Amino acid sequence: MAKDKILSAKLKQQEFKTKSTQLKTQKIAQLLEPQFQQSVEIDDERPLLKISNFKEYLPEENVQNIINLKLKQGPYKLSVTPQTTYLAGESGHIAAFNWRHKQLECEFDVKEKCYDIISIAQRNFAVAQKSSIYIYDPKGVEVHKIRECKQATKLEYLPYHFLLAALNQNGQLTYQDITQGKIISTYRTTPSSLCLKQNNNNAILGIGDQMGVVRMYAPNTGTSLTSMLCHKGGVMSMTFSRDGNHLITTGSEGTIKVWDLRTQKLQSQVAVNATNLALSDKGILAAGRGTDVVMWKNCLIGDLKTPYLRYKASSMICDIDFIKHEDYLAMSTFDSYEQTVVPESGEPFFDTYEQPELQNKKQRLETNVRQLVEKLPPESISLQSHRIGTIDRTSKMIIEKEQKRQIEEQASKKIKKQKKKMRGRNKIGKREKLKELERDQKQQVKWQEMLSDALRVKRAEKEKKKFETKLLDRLEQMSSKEFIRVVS
Amino acid sequence: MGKLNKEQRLEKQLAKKVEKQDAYQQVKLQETPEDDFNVANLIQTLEDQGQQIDSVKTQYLRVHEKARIVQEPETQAERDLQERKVAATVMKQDIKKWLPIVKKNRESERIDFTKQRNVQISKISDTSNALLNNHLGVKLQNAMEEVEKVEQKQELNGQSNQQKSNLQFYNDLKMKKISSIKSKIYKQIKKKKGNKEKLKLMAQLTPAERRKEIEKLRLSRAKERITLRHSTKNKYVSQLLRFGGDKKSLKQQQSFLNNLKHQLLAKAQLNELEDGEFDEENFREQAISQLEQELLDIERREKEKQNNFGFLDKQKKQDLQQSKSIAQKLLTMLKSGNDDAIQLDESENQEQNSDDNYEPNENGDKDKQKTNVENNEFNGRANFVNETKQLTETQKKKIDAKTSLSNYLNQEPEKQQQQNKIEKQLTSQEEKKQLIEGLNIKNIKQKYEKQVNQKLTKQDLKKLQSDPDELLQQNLANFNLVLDEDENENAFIDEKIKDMEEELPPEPANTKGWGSWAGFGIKEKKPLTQEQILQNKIKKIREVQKKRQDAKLDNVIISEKRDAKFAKYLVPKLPSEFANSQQFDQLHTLPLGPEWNSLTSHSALTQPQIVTKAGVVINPVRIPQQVNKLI
Repeated sequence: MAKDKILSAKLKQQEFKTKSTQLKTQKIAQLLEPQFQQSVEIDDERPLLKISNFKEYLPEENVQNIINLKLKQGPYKLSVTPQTTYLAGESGHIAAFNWRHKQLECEFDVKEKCYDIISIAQRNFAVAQKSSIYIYDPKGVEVHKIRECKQATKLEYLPYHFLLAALNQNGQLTYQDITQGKIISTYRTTPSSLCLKQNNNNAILGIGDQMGVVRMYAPNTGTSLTSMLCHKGGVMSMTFSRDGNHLITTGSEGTIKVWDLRTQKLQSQVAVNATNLALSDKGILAAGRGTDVVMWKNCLIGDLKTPYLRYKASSMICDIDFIKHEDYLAMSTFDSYEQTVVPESGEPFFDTYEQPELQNKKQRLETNVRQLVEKLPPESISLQSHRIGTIDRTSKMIIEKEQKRQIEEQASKKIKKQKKKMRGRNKIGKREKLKELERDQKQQVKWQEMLSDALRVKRAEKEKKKFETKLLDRLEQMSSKEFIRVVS
Repeated sequence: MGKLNKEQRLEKQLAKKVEKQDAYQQVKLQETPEDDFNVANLIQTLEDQGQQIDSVKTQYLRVHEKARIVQEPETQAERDLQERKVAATVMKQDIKKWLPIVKKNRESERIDFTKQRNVQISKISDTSNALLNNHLGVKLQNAMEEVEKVEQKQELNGQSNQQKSNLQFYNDLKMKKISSIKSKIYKQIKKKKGNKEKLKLMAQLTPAERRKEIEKLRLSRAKERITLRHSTKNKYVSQLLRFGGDKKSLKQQQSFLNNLKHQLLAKAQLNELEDGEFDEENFREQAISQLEQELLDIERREKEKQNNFGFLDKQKKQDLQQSKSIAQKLLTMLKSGNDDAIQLDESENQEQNSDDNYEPNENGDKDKQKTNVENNEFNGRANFVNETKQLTETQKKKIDAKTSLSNYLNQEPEKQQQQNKIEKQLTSQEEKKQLIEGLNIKNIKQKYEKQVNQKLTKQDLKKLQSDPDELLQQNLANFNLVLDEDENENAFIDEKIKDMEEELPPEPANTKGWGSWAGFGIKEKKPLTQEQILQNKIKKIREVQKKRQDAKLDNVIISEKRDAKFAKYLVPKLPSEFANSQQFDQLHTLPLGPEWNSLTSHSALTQPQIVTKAGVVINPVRIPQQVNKLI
């Protein structure tokens, strides 16, 4: 404890305040908890429950929202909000409809290959097409065309930073600010990427690799913050929990693994060959494998042995997602869009900064303005985001080095003024002669470097030749030896 | 049908246009004489009356001359021109449809005759009614789909051939694209897949077979490296490579080879087409003519000069007689007309030949036969296996396109193999002679037996261990698939080590004389060897590894780089009040906003220390007396 009496008193007062406020918040949370939460009980005899078994006992509102749309234009990608679903077929069929009121918002055909779709701020949506990324209105009008990131295959949207992240086919990641239209950072990640997902708590992007590695990225640094070897095969897909403490991945070798991100260790695993994953806010895990969807209830605690529910789709599943704050699971297949009930999956409470679904037009406009005012800067994304406002713990040596480097960079950027020289020396001819000399010196340095490189290559070639001749001699000896053995 | 319609349409249009022109002119001609009120009639009437109107007459004549040109019918040449123009405009409209198709076909390498696919576009707006009336709509929809499925199945049977051809065309395009990929990463991935399959095959083989294959690989690679990459770049060699021995350019040679390929392909395609219509009589005539030519050749060869060596002549006679007998047998069979008997006889003949180690190459060299007789163990069986693959003339007629190409491509390497075998035999013969003549075989045997029974010293053991080739063979023999699966793990560990190496400070340049005492009588320091440098590096890396966050986690890399941009959100120095950073951080554990706390606790947390009620007078600040004295 501190020696100062004033400080010690201040700290004690703080402790008292924290305890009292924590107690109050706990009490209020107990009051707000829903008393009648519907759930499905599982018998021991049949651990796999089918949704068709309890479909009759559901209320009418839920039954009406069980949707099965038949579409014929290629495998579909989806993104779901509490009101609308956005669909993008591979051959260019794009549609948005309100699933709550069964109302079509827009539908059109871009005669181009589409890779991914995602909903962004103010009910707009972005589509990753073959030529570039397009942003459309809720009525399907083309608003923007982002030419900078070409051949993007995966999209992700960070709602509190207003950033659209796009991953390229060659592994190039770009962050673009939607409000200003400025590209914040682009850098090269792993070339053989398979999936892209954001940590909702942290706004850090995770990229799954073909080599079985998951890497975390932020816009500040070009290199990966952490990288974790998860599977022997490639990482097919992954999800983060709502807390940001857990990571769930599937590998191509046929396992689902649950990782604790606080300790970076494996928690539990199951041998299931899944291709798509989705995690609800309450912690129900859905895994798509072929035409089946299998769900587990308490996967974050470690109960992965007994599945909770099972659903059978009409064809192969391409994309899967839970609807936020609702008890529905949306999935897109090769030729259909399907939506089913999953009891006890949605979180009933809204976050304070989250935009609730039922709002007036006036309220929505106000929230839009407020969100823009409270926009978080992209530099605040890091693994240490909980340490904002605390003391920097890095050593003084590193900080001094950084400051020096900054000063040097600033000095190099400054334009040097030419000195005023004595009379007669400031002639135009002499000044240009000096310039030519500088140019020649720079060229000389370049040529010398080139020469040294060429010499080094020649030497290496000579050494290789020697080594290979030796090897050939030895092989000849070996062959002759064997012959002698045969004769003897 | 379309062409006929167009021609008909053209004729009709032309006829209409011509009719219109004629009708217009007819109307004009008809109007003029019918008009009662005419200028010419007026003038005539005035002249008859006896009035002077010469000036009016001249003006009228001028105008009349000009009008005459308009009223006259057009010449036939002009009419033809107009007709041609009309015809050209009509034709252009028809050609416009075909221009893009012709252009596409001209540019593409092969022409696509398939029809365009009828893409069935389904929309949500079509099924929106089903959404509203869910129960009824879904039932209706399902019923309709079942009807559609039955209809589609009937269509599919007709479309299956089209789909196959479409798929083939699509696959060809795909393979063309894949072949043009130049990225290194793609090649690396492809190489890895290939290596995996090879290793799986290797694991199934026995260790003896494995060694042989490894030796083959090593020889081929060594030769490749020397021949391709590090070849000599003399003027003589470069000219040889470019123009060859006969001073042909590379392009000429390539074109010659390509021509051969195309000819073979064309032949094979013709044969494929003719398979259905196989003319037995033609084929028989050709075969008989060929056999007769061979018999003539054999007779000519018998009349040639005989060598001085008796045993060679005997062999030659035997060979020629055998070949003669076979040809005569075949001739009799063909003339009698039993096709089934031919194939049986051929197989019998081949078996007989194999027993006698006989080569049925009529034009074969005699030297080969000599070597075969001397070294029955090495070459006799191998040659027989190759012979069976060579197709007889009767079977050549039925060759497909693929087999003929593959045979052509495999001809050159086979020739090289044969040449290599002959060379090997020669070398082996020489060595054998040396052994027999110069040394006693018994002595050599005893030497080897001694070496085997001798107890190995430490130096010999070291020599054995130092041989990298043997070690490699042992390692590859004991290769397990488990190692193959850990490829990801090895790559990850390499990445981790590379990350740790970047943290190490840069080593000073190892220049001579610097950092050591100089003078008389001081021993010179030897520069460090590469092994020592490596060991030092490993020590440093291990020290770094202990300090890292991921020291105990093998499957995790946590980067230790400082995020400079994030540093502006942190407090750079500890304020003067606090002794530790923990004390400072403790004040900021609790968030103050109403979003995280209830309203009452929020008001309590943000309450100011001094509370003043409204209406209370606040006096201005005064300097205390103790300070005032000092001033």
